[in-house]
Amino acid sequence: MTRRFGTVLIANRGEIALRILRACRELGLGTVAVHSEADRTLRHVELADRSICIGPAPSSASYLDMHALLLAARHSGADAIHPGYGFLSENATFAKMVENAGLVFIGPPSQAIALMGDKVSAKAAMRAAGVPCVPGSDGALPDDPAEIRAIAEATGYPLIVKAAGGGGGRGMRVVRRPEDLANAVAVTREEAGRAFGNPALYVERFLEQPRHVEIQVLADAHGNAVYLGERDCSAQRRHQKVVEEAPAPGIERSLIKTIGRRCAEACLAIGYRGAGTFEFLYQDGEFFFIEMNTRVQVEHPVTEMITGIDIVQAQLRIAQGEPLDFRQQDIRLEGHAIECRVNAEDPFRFTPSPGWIERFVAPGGFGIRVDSHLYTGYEVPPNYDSLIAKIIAHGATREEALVRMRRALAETTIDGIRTNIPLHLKLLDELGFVEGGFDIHHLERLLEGGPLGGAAR
Amino acid sequence: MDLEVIERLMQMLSNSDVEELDVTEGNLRIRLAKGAAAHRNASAAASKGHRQQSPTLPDDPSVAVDSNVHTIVAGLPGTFYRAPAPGASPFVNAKDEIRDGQQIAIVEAMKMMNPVEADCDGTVLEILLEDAAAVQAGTPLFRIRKVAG
Repeated sequence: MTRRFGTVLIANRGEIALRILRACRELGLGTVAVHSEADRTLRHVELADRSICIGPAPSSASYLDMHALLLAARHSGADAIHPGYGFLSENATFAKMVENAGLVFIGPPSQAIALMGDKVSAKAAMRAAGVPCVPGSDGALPDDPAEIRAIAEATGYPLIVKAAGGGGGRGMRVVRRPEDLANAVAVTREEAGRAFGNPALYVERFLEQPRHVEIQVLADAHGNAVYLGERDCSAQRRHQKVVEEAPAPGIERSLIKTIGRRCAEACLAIGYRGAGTFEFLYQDGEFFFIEMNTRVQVEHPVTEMITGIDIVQAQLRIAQGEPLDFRQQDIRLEGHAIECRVNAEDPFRFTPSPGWIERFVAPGGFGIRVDSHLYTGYEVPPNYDSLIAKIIAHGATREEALVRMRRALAETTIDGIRTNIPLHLKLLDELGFVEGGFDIHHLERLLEGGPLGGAAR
Repeated sequence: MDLEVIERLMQMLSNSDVEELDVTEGNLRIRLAKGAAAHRNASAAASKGHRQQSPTLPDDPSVAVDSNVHTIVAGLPGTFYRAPAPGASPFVNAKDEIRDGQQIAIVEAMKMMNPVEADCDGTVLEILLEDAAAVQAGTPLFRIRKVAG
């Protein structure tokens, strides 16, 4: 449901709550900040038109309490809810409750969240919409060896045999040659039966050196959908993105155009509305859909910097029923943007480091943007995510953006807690990173034995 | 020793090739480290984080009387959990015997589950907090009677 609204309840915390508040202000919308008992001192709580404490520190008793949020909306006269990212942002039940309460959920319709939230239905919907997925058996392997061979041929080598009941790296085997297939299937089936009580297997193409490349989309309620280029988020540790950039280095623009169009068309096919991201693995010129995020993402600023489009404002406009005021051909990519996620943690051991900020001095200057809720005297609570700031550098070229980022990180002062800025500084000087186009295992390889691992000792 | 002295020591250290400096004057001890030495010390301190012994508590008569009783404290601020998962049985109960290095609790901080480990063989005398209590770095969690010897 879309309709005009006057006041937005911000159902989140930290930097993204402040980001949403800023977008609301620029559109002349009223703001209600809801917060837990541990979050009274958040910057956006101070700035909001109204603030309401919705529960104790644990998220389950505050930011995830759907009834408390709806009660706060009713009590404060808010007529729309922005869920941010994480927490309830991809919860179809919550979106439905908001819709049923006659309020506007700033995001896609609850049915679209439900469709894309389930891995199986999401993949089927993407296939139907012509978005490429990782090739595979799409279900349990049959018993007949000839049928298995045929499925493997269609999937392509190297492939990975996985136990349907497995997970966490257990119950899987990579097969590089057709002659090794039968044995791998037999052994994995045996293990799966014993370890998981479920001998069902499936196969998928195995990508050895994939990059994480994602497409940002915007769709309105009037049948318009566009893509805002791509982001490369291959710098990851334990599936957590550490650095993101746009555009993705070294990928043919024609390939981005093809996959981007498919994503925009898929939005129309599934009745999508608002901002969203299609995540892909990319290898050897091919894209393979992994999942769709039906919300604003942490790394949305790099896209904003190169397109000049305010994605959070666009979310708010779309939710009010406004049509997009630009078309695909109006979108131009200018220069290169990089984002470093600054976390309250030990830079090399990754142990959390919450606590009192004795001094915070943000970087600045040409081409630098800082999205952060930090201020001197703020105490980072131990109850939530460790993200405390996003530093974004924009330059005419990737090289210029890198130079700006190094300069900005070096002048950032965050005293009182440990942060991962020293890791970022080392990473930005690392050869593979400077070159760009590395795969999703690059950072972990560096940390395990390479130059960054050495820094920990 | 006043701040000026410490400042002079820091100056000396950074102008020299020396990596670590350890000065004792009366009952005050100052250790300064830079570069790799500083990292090493920071890592060592952090790895001991959950296993550090609390300072003796002179107000607590049991501690003063019995040096075999000691307290295990939280290494970092967060939420104290006695069990590996909601509804699961606790890692340890009062009167349980525990071994050095055994996991006896979790402190969750910033969505990370940080194990709390015993730093000696002994018996759990008392669990000082309720499950899901908020803790600070240094908050006493368990009182343990060490195995003598």
